[in-house]
This record gives sequence, structure tokens and C-alpha cells, in this order.
Amino acid sequence: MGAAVVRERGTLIGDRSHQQSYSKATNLIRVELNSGSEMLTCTHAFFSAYCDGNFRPIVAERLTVAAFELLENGLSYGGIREKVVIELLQVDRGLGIRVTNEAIPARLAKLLEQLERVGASPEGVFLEELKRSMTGTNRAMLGLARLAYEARLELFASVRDRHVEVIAHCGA
Amino acid sequence: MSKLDTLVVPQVDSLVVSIAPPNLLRLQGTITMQEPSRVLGGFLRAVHEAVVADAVRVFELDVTELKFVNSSAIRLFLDWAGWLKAMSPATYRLKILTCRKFTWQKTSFVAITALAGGHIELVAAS
Repeated sequence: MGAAVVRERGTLIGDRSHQQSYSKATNLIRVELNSGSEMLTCTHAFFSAYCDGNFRPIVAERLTVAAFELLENGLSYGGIREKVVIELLQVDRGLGIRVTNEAIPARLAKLLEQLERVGASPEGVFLEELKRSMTGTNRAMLGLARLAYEARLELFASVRDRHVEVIAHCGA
Repeated sequence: MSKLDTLVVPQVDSLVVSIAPPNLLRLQGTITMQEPSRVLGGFLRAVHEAVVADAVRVFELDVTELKFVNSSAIRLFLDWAGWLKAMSPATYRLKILTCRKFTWQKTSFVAITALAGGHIELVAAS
């Protein structure tokens, strides 16, 4: 588990097989929100209720935490000109949460750096971010580390035009 | 009347907070607000200070029905661990009652316990 961020000709892509499967995903839920929206909690509650009603508890729990953390990042750090889209997707090899938002270059760089760190060492980064939170040094990026370590999700990101999409994949 | 008796419990959507003096705080539901420290941070600090003032030796935090917290809320418990670690020596031990079926509790509280310098005990309920 972890994260896959591959740089190719300026476009960051994830694991190629994942990319292909998510390009043909079945959309189970799709919600569009304005950036900075205050609908985070109720959107998360909706995803949580859907997952609780349709998947095994351990799968529901993993997807629920992904829905919250990715959506919060998208709403907090995405650009304001475009909507933030969160989707619950079904693919051949499992389920995924995808959040798409307008990319802000400086924040995008931090996101991708964090994905690479998390991919290299999910547990190590999780513990490191916890320690950083304790000492109050900068805003720790605990959310992504949580997804990789606690929820054991595969994270990957891609950038197209002005948009970044981050997917948290839960294997079948 | 103990200091803990005098605390005002915050009213938070999706979260039930209850105190049972002399030594129990229970959190039930979910914590998903964007800045939980604004609403709950001060309250938890007040609980910590009340526990110290009341000379409680073991204080229980029951999170067995705390189903989900966002990463910002995990920091609330980290802060508590930091307060304990900063006391030299700590005047009380924090016993956290957890639920095995919530993965976030297993990963986060084990790590937080390790960072607390021996002042936190985890008890896992089925």
C-alpha cells in the first residue's frame, strides 16, 4: 500500500493499471461542491451512510475516512474558480474515492511531495506527522498519511490542465 | 464539589460529550468539524486541569463509541498526551477505553500512547 506518483512529460500519473481501471469506473456517487464550501460534514455523513449500508464494515470505514480527508483537502487547498468533485467509484479491482479540484501550483507541489513521502513509508510518515502535530511545527499533513497507513489505501494523483485528481483506492 | 463537576460540556453536532465525576469523560459519535480545537480544545484542557486540581490518580477517557474523527481531531488527543508528558512528574494516568472495531483508534492511540511518555494506558473493549 502507499502512493504512486509517476512523473511523465509534466503530467503526474499514478500506477498505469490503476489509471486505466479508473478511466472506466462505474460512478456510484458524485457530489459537486463550491470550493470552501461548508458542506463537508454533511457530504461526509452521506458517504458514510451509503458505505455503511452497502459494504462490509472494514471497507466502509476505509472509504469513509478517505472521503473526509480527500474532500477536506480539496475544499481547503483547491482553487476557488472551479467546483470540487467527490466521487465514489467502482472498478474491477475494488472501490475508490476520487476528488477533483482546481490545482494551485504551490499547493500542488506540496501535495505531490507528501504523496511521494507517504508512498515511500506510510507508517514512518504517519508517525512523523503525529510528532510534528505535537510540537506544533507547521500544519502537519496527517490526513494523507492516515489514508495510506491507517486505512491502507493506495493513493495516486494526476494533473490535467488546471485540475488535480487524487484517488484513494480500496482493493477488493 | 470537584472541579470536574463545574465544567460546562460543549454542545457539538454529531458528538455527545458526557462527564461522570470523579474520573470519566465519554465521547460518543463523530468529530468532523474543520477546527475541532476551537470547540473542544479548550474543554479538554479544562478537563485536564480539573483532573489535576481534583488530585485524581487515574482518569478514564471512554471513546468506545467514538466512531470517526478527522485528522484535526486526532490532534486533540495528541495535545492531551503532550500535557501529560509536560508534567514532571505526571500527577495522573490517562486510561483510554477503545473499541477494537474502529481501525482509527488502533493506529492513532497506539502511536499517541508511545508519544506520551508512559502516562497513557489503552484498554481495548470488544
